[in-house]
Amino acid sequence: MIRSALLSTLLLSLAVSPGEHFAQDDGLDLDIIIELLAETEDDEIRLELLAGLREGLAGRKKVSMPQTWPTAYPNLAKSSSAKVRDAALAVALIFDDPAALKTLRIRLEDKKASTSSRLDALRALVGKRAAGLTEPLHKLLSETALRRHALRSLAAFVDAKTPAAILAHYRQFDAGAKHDAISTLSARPAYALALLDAVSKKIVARSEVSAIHARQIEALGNEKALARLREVWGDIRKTSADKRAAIEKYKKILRPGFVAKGNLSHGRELFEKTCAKCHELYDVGESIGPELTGSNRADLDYILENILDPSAAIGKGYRLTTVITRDGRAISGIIRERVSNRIKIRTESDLVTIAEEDAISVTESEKSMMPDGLLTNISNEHVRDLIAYLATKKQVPLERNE
Amino acid sequence: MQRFAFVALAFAVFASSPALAQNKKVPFLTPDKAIAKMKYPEGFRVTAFAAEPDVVQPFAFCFDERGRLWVAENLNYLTRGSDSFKDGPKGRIAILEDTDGDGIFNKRKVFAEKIFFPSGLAVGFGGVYVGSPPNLLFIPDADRDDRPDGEPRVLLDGWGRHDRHETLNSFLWGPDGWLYGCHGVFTHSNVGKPGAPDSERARINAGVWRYHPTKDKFEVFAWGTSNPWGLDFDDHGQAFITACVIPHLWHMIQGGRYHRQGGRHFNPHVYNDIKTIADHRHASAHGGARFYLADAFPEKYRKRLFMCNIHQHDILTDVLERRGSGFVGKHGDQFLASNDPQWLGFNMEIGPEGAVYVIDWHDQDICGRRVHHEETGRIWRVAYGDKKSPVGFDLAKKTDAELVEMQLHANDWYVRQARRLLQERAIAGKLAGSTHAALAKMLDTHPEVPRRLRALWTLHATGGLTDAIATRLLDDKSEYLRAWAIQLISENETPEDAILAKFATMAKKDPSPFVWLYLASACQRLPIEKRWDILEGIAAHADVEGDHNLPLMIWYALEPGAAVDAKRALSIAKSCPAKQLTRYVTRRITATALSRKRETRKSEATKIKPAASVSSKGLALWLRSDFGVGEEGGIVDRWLDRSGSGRDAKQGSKSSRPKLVPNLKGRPAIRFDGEDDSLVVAHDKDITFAAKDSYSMSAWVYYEGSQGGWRTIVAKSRDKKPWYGIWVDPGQRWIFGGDNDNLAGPKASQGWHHICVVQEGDGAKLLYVDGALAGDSQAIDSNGTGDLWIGAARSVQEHFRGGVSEIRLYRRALSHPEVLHLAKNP
Repeated sequence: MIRSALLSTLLLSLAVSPGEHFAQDDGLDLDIIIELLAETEDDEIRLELLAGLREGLAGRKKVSMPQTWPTAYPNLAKSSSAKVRDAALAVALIFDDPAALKTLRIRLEDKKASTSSRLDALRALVGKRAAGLTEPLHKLLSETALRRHALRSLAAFVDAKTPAAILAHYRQFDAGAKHDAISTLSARPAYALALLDAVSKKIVARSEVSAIHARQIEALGNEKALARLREVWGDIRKTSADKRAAIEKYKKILRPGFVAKGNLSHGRELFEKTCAKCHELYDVGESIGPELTGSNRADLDYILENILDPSAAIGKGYRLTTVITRDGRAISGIIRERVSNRIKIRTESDLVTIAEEDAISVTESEKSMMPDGLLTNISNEHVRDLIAYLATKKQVPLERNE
Repeated sequence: MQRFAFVALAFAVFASSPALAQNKKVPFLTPDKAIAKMKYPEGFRVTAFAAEPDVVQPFAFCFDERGRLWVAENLNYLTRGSDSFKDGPKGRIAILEDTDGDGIFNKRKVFAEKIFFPSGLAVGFGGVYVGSPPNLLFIPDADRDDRPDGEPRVLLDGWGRHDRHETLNSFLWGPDGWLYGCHGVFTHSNVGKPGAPDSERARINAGVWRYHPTKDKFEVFAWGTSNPWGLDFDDHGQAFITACVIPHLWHMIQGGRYHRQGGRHFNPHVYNDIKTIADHRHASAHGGARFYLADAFPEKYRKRLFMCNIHQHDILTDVLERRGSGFVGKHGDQFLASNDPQWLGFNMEIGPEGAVYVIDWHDQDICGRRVHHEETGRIWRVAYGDKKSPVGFDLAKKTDAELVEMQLHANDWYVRQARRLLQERAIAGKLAGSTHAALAKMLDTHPEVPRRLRALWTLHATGGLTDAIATRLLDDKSEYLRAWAIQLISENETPEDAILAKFATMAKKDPSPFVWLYLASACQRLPIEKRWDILEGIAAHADVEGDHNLPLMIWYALEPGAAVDAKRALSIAKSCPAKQLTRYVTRRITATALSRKRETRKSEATKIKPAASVSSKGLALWLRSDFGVGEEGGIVDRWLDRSGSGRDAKQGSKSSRPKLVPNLKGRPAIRFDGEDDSLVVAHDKDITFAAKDSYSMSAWVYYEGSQGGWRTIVAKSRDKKPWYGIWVDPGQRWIFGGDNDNLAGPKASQGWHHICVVQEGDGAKLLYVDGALAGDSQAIDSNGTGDLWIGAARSVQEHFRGGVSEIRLYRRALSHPEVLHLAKNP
């Protein structure tokens, strides 16, 4: 009785100040989905509903919990399907369920849990930008299975201890992890300075810092980092005369006789390290840039112009966009999606999703996602092997005993 | 056998020692020597139908009804990024005729010169259609004397010139009487009639488009792929394209969204796209798709898809096999190897004698980065045996009856030419009275489906496909005829309800996934509210799961519905064996929910203070219930515009006039009865807005409660899309409506409410309810040319029951404080 009287008083007061009525937080209106989640027993449908919620809400930090969620969640959490339980947990986390946060934190650090469920926990927590995550992520750097994911995830968080934590383990990393480590260390000014110090101290080899990384450091817009980059790595900016000269230089070097001596297996290895992050050839590699199988890659002019002057003829879909976040991270890549106030950017190592409100600037350049100077710090013999491999008509085997 | 060994050996050599093309040393072969180097199956004969200097820089070609070959010579092509536009138009259109039938032309006429960058070519309808970016041109030659009757006419403009070798290309008369063509991914076109506003244009940057020669209508047929070059229809009217860089073979379905080489789909809610149908890869780019639907080659080639392989300098064939609602493309053979790195085939035609013709740009640069040879070009003819080409004929001289009979010809060349000629005669009103009956008889009685389809297409193209015939075909025994009947019925206006009910029955009961596919395509052309029953039927079939096309084609049709009626969309998805549909719908509903409720904007909204006043800057319409209400006995026939722009709202029909209520809960109001009342402000271009324009519309509305269905408060151009306006939806939510983009706000409650919609040009679309931001999405085009209606919407009616005391329209985006001021000061 009292309650209903109170309610009607409330409604009355809302009626007199119409502007306020809709400002109150009654949760995100996903009732229709959540009702179905509560009602269906079909795990397949549950999984698709949960996946749709996760995809739709990815990258959003603050999502107010729909009023109906607490009625649906307990049943999902009790499902006999581990997949359903995990997916529901991840959604609960998105809705700021403190219990979900705690469970996932424990799972992430639980070495007895399966790698896939720990990975799922990691993805959910990073997607949520959960606080206090850097410390467990630092710990994961010593675990081979989750190392690369931890490395990539660290880019999303500001923690002065991150560079030291990464560099302490750097020498034990394999090539892939090294690449990810450098990508993360190129993402923030302070990290980049630490990285470039490590290069000058030869903890990180200069050749392990790719042109993509160098340009990422440039994108930070930090004078100090840029000066240091020039000092220890080389000049990132190439004039068109530089590019022309480089093309001519390589044309002279890459005589047919010299290219014929190329080690195709080594060329493939170089391709997988340098190019396959963005390009697919013979079904190997990512599809960020154009697929190369059907390209004119046996033509030396064509391949040199595209490698050394990639921005000369570039389609709009491949233009590099740099997003600077409020907390100082630079993310360079191709915008894959920009809808519902969320940006999905495909970088050369990751698909990063951020809330639009977290971006200070989103700048599309005239330049290709493919950086200039990809051959900087690569020996002529290695360039030869790569070019020879690119001209093949069929896949070649990788060298077995490397 | 011998040829096979050669190919295998060549690959072995390449694999062990890379063959880097050393450009300067590529030998240049005379046509004779080039033919000598070619390898092709026994029994075939290759001739140089034409070569430089008689043909230079050939870009496109086509046959006319006299068996003559028209060639577009693109002398403005420089590189992928440049053309010689500033030097003026240099392209040529020439007619090559083989007067003795030996496979080598011996008569050349220049039809037109100084045509800029001719990229596509089709003869018909008293002239020639020419791609000439930024234009699609028509050069008239009604008297067929091979001399233009006048200057080229620009039919469409807005074609981009970003990547010069990804432009409008591969023109082809489709079976349905439309002119079809391809377009590449790195050129960004916004195509429409000259002078048309953005709202009447269609964007395309990869895909297949079509233009109707007599209805003067342009549409994108399917979106995506890379640089498609080469488009053809098989003998069931299925469109296939060959493409570059990405996998080479694609079955193009009306309304399909295909894998893109780069960039994003225009619609951010596509979520997933249709992939290639090829089960194999050829190691290079492709162009010039042509189905061999002639009768001169050995039987095994019939129905195969011929294509040029650009990097390998070959002609290949693929074999198409039906699977589910679509096809699988299997490798046929390497039909011809030119063994000449300068051989650059990318367009094909099949001639009246059944030979295959190939355009060879002839240059050592494969990708068109530069032109090494400015004056080369070849047209090869590949014939089987020594059969001569027919000469000296003119199908235009045939009677209608003869052209109808030609629909049964064993060479599709005659079928296509005859169909176009009949279509032209129908347009000119010169078709013999018996023609339609003859075609209808062929449609009804011929035992073979492809022949019946030809009769159907020609009947349609000549305007003889009656509702009765089309409706009857929906029950035909052939899935192809049922499917085509669906497409042709859905080509123009929304079909009447009885037909839609039939579609819904077919969706449920028809056993053919192919028919479901056509129904899904047709749905995309229907208003959202008419799609539900059909989609519900299709989605429930077990065979949808795992089908190459159906789950996504259903999704593309369902997507806008999921934004409007989440419940229904979800229930359809749930019943669909393709479970991913549930994920897509959930994701779409989530996107809607997020845009309705944008946390930051909302939390900011509570802090915003109303502006002290709102300037009248940009005020284009201002109606107030305490000013200028023209009424007689309380019946309102006009409502004067207080903005000074003279945009008075009127109602001519006495029975449709709303009432003036002097005191509706505290203020005077115009009350609409929800039955037939409305007021109309005439259209003018200053109250229409493209996506790049800013505008605001504010209304004070008295909501009386649910009437069910959609209800219009105020709607501009609801009859001619794209529209904009304020609605209440069936869920009683406030809606900032637009063409396929309904931004939903909170549920309407009884009483007075201030609704304000704001578009920030090229930015956000915002909906404010009672001064609070209720949702946002992206700016869209809202520049249809229909009138502005209050209390109802033209064409859909949607009569609103309730009061309106004020409407304001600004040609600028109001700020939130300004909106709040209006919301606080009725």
